[in-house]
Amino acid sequence: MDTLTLTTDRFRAMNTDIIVSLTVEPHPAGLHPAFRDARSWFAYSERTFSRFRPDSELSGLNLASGLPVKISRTMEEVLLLARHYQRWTGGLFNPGILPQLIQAGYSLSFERLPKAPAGGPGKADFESASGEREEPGPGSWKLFGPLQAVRLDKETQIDLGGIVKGWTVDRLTGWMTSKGITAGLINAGGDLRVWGDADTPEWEIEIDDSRQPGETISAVSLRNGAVATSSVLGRRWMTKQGPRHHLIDPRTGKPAETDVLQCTVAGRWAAECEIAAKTVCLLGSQEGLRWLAHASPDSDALVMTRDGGLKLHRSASPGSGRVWKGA
Amino acid sequence: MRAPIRKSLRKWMVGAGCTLSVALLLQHAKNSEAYQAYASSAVDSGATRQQEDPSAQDPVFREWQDQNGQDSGSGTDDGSSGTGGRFERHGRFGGESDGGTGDGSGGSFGGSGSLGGSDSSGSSGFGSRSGHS
Repeated sequence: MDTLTLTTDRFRAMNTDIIVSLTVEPHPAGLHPAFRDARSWFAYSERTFSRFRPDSELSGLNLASGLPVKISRTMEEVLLLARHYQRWTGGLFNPGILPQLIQAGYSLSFERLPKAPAGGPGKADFESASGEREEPGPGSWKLFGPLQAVRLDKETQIDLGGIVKGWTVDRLTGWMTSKGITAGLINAGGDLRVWGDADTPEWEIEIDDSRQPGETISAVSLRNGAVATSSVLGRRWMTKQGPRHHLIDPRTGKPAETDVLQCTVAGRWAAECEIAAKTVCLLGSQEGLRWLAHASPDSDALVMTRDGGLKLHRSASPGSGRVWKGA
Repeated sequence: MRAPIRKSLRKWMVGAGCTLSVALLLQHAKNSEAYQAYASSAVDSGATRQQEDPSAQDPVFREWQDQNGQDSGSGTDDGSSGTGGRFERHGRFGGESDGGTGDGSGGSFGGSGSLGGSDSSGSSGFGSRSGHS
């Protein structure tokens, strides 16, 4: 058997940890060009899509809501994809909920927010102190394809954080495979893609327990595909009204309150898995898994409920090649 | 024929003559050996570039590479915020591998790198931790 070297680079981008493992030899002069590409690509994606950077293209777009704005091909592609997933989820994935996110207290980069105490959330975590229900206000936008321009509806502000990490991972995977890298893993804060050929071993992805850092709840083996995990415990912060989390239900405009604590989806694309995992969190385990079976028959899901129970939903389609352990 | 008509006709003939001259000049340039050599080398290099890098045709990657070129003074290694990167050799796999494990200390991601079907670690493949958002 040929010897295969796996080399890993870790760095921070998009306010999360990025891990890139590739079957390349370490470069004698420092970073292998493929890793330089990966860092550069994530930096480019962050420069384009961060809502926390005043110089990003997205910030410019939000500032000009109501006016037509010329956009890059990169922005156009992600907006088209976001529109597709918005329909796919029946509106549960909605990039136009930025005002609700800010209202819920997610107004700074997550690293700069006061953290909520560890442990599972209670019902009170999801109720505002005033008891008033914020009006949901999902915004929209119109793309002018031939002009490569977009106009956000007046007062609409968008946040593409729910799709961009997965999209960045998917696109970089395509780039790496086009460069002839036979196997690899790209993980952006839990949204990951792996690939390999028949001569490379399968990847074994351990699924973190979001209640207990360092612990795992299961593992899935696969050679090609994506895995993404979303959790209501993942990004929590403290407000005057109590702890809040980042999974906003567009139907209520408030952080989601269902029986799902954490959902992992394994499928084809990181962006799709990322959005599917969030959607299951928003819908709850029963309705969410029913939706997934219909919307993405090729995907598997592992759901952890508030009582600590695990539910594994297996794809009905044969040939996914995924093997779950410990679930 | 009246004088104004004759004058107008002469103008048209001069115009047509000039157009014909320019067309002949361009045709001559296009048929020249220098032009042919330049054109064929441009086609060759374009085809080679496409063969070497199919992603070069992707408009998104082109935008990225263009920005990369503009930012080349600052390099591409430091594009991320936060703590910067760590680079490590992760392991090997193969019949005679020792199953070289990674460092396993990457915070919430861990990142053990045991590889290979017959290695001494008993692992069946590449390993990683999922993390979550």
